[in-house]
Amino acid sequence: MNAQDLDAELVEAARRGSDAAFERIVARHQKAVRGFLRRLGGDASDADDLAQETFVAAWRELERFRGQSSVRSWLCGIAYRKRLTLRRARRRADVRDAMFAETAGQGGGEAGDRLDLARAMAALPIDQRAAVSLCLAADFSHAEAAAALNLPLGTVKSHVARGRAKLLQALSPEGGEHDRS
Amino acid sequence: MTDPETRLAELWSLDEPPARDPVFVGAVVARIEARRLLSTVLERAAMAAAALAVAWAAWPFVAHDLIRAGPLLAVAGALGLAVWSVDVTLERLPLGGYEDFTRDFASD
Repeated sequence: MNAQDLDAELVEAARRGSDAAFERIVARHQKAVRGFLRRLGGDASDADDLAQETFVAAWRELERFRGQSSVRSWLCGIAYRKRLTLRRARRRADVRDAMFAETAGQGGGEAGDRLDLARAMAALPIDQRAAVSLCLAADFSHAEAAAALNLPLGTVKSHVARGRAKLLQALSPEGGEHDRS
Repeated sequence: MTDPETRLAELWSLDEPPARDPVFVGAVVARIEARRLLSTVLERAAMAAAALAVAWAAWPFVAHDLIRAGPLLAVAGALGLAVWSVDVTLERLPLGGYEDFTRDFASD
């Protein structure tokens, strides 16, 4: 049985009320959802908290899943909408985090690279960041990412190309803001 | 020096969550149980309030008959409670066997 058939069977069983099937869905897709939310920015524990809320929302919305997209892209879509809602509510915290990133971690090396990447990701618009995070870091196809983010396929492709260029620029020796000497 | 493309992949992999995380799964299950409990409590509280309102409204019309049928109602109530307890207990026992969704888990 391939992964998509297994997902379909699990969703069907979860709809019929099987908690074991839903647990299995969580176990199979937690890595994708948590990784996606962590790359969108912010604290890892906040991202994990939001990932848990994503699965609770998915549990409540099981009836609405039509199977037109993969389960992981449906879950990432829910996660993305939750992140957008949270972002609107937490703009002030984001500004504070950005100020912290500006002043912290002047050590160069890996810490500096991570900071450069975090900064470059934070500088991308949220939809571009999401597209990059799904397609480059999590091996989603462009079509899957388009379904998850509810964006046209062409928009996702251009977001990925532009975002990738900006991130590579930030990580190139002359692009980062840290002294790597 | 590593090229930026490889470096990007390396940096992303540093923040990857583990492929299997029973603690996270358990936390999600706990949240779902909490929501389920809350919705059950709210639903039953609403039903109880509605039943109370009906009883209060109907009391003047049925009080005389109810008092006369008191002993019979007490027996019927006790029997009903016993049947309900057995039903609830059976519901929690896996008499039909557990669904096996753990198969193929190694292939995830």
